[in-house]
Amino acid sequence: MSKDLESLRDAFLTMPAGPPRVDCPQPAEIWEAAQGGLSPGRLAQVVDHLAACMACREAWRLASDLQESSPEVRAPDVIAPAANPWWPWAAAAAAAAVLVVAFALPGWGTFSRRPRPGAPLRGSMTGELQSLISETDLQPRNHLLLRWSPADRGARYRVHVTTRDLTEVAGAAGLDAPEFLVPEKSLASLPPKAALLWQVSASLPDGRSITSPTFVVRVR
Amino acid sequence: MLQQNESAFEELRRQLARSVSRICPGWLAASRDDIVQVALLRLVQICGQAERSEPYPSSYLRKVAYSAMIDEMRRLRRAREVALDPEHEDRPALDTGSNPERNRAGREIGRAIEVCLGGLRRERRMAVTLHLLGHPVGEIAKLAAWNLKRAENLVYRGLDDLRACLTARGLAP
Repeated sequence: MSKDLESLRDAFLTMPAGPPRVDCPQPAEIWEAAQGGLSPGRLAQVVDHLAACMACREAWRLASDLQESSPEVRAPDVIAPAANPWWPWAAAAAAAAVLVVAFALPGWGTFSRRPRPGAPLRGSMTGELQSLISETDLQPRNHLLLRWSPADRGARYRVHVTTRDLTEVAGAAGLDAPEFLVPEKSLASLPPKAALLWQVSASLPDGRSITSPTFVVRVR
Repeated sequence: MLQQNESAFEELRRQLARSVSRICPGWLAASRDDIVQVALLRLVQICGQAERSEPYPSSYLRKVAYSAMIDEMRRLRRAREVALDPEHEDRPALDTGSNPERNRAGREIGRAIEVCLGGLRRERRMAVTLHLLGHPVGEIAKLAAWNLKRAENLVYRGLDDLRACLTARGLAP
């Protein structure tokens, strides 16, 4: 590689990355593009974006690095879930155990801050869908209305509500409004001040889907 | 059976953790466990929705871990938590050492490259961008579904255009 090309490359890849832009491709799309899995037309759009966005160039490089890297320790090529369908729930229970520990530790958090009211407990990775209800105030059991920030116009929502041990309490799909009234009867067996976890995903008109972090709500 | 499944779950976690640690930038090291946890939760959700019983290819696990990590990087940058930290303000996205003067000069050239790329013909821009991202001509041809000769032409003509633009801006490479 010529020296001037090397210095161009250095300059192009070492700028400080700013906050994401509204038109940044989803990580999964960058991953597919770096793997050669996009149509030439869409690839051209993604690369046009990379030419002007340092954060996405960094994301591209990381995708390429991970795709090229070979495992340090030879691992099985596939991870098989159990033959019976309990596997996701075992994984969920293990994940939930971390959530429970998280509740138990004051000041827990990625940055050792106390969670803000309404702030996501875990998995706050998208930022597009946020809870609009308090995580600390007790909500009425006979009118538990989950509300969240709307996604694009025409979005359809799916909601899951579970207990801390990830037992399904209620859920709905195909919602066109950013809210869900949890049926009172599905809350009947919960103890007072029970904490529930809920998560919403949105299918957007352009075919993308986004998923919220996991939120917490407490019922009287 | 339970033991077998627990071990599969632990292996799943290990694979996600390996993927994350392989590419996680140093400034994000404190969030590694969180990223792995989020990737696990995503798999649980996907698994639950699809009632999946087939194995996950390890390439898919890498993609899930990668997506969780990029989302976290974006979230942190969106929150400006890193940008507001003076210690990190001048830090380049990809770590190349800490020479502030070199970083400043590099930033100036980097911005000029972005501007110049914006003025290139589209196919040349695509070829040069991919080349600057580290892809050799053969890979560029494969990614863009061009033949090798065409990719080569686009890269070299595009680089010529880029150098001319930088020179015109007083930034001879």
